[in-house]
Amino acid sequence: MMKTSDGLIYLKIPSNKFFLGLVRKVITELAERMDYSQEDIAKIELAVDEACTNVIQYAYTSEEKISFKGGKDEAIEIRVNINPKRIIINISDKGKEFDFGSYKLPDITAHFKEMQIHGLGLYIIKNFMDEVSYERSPDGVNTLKLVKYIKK
Amino acid sequence: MPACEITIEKIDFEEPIHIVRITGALDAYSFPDFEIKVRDIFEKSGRNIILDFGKLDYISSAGLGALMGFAKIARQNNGDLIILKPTPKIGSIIDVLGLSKFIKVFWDEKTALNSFVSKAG
Repeated sequence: MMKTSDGLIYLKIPSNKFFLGLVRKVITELAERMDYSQEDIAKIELAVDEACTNVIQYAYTSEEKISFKGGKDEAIEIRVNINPKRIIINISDKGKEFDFGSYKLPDITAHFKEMQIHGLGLYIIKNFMDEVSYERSPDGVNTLKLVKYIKK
Repeated sequence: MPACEITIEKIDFEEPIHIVRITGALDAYSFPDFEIKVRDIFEKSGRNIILDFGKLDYISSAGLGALMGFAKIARQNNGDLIILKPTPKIGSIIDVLGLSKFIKVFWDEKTALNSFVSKAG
């Protein structure tokens, strides 16, 4: 297989669920060109989708109120940094702050026993990626950083 | 091409079984349509649902959450909701999350249909 190049890829989408499929296509296409297993590609795809969905649903709450193209600042920026060892995906928005520190991973089995599923998106993000961190800049930009290493 | 296409087939077994076939991606965008169609089955007194995932190539937490919610409603009405023929990709996600402990998965339609009979009998 060809060696993966170092590279930065930028993608900016309106905060609208219509574009989730596009983000998944770009991310999976990229991950497939790297040395990830099919299972890891599926995990990266799902984690990025869940992260973008959370931004649309919670950071920018009023999806139905904004125009199809999104409001002025209602966009999601996805910056992907790849090298032969790993992929880093930074997902940024200018919406509401997320209290990432106080989020506790739910006991998913207990959840399923009750047939509930709250918090599954974040559970997927945290479990499917190797590193997950959140930062809010002084000028109000939220960034969720996702890292996945290529298993040797 | 739409992100997701849903067709419903009603089979008159001992009691009606609805096979919901989903093609494409079940994500936060396509999920409302899925939810409306399955709720409609419950509202018309259907309680036995087979979700055919044979042509489903993606599912996110919105869809997985709906599965759990609908399985709960089906069981409260003494019916059930089961999954048919998930692709390896979706099958492994369901396994990794431990969902297969709570929702039955079948690989052929006949066995899936018969699972409702043996339950009623």
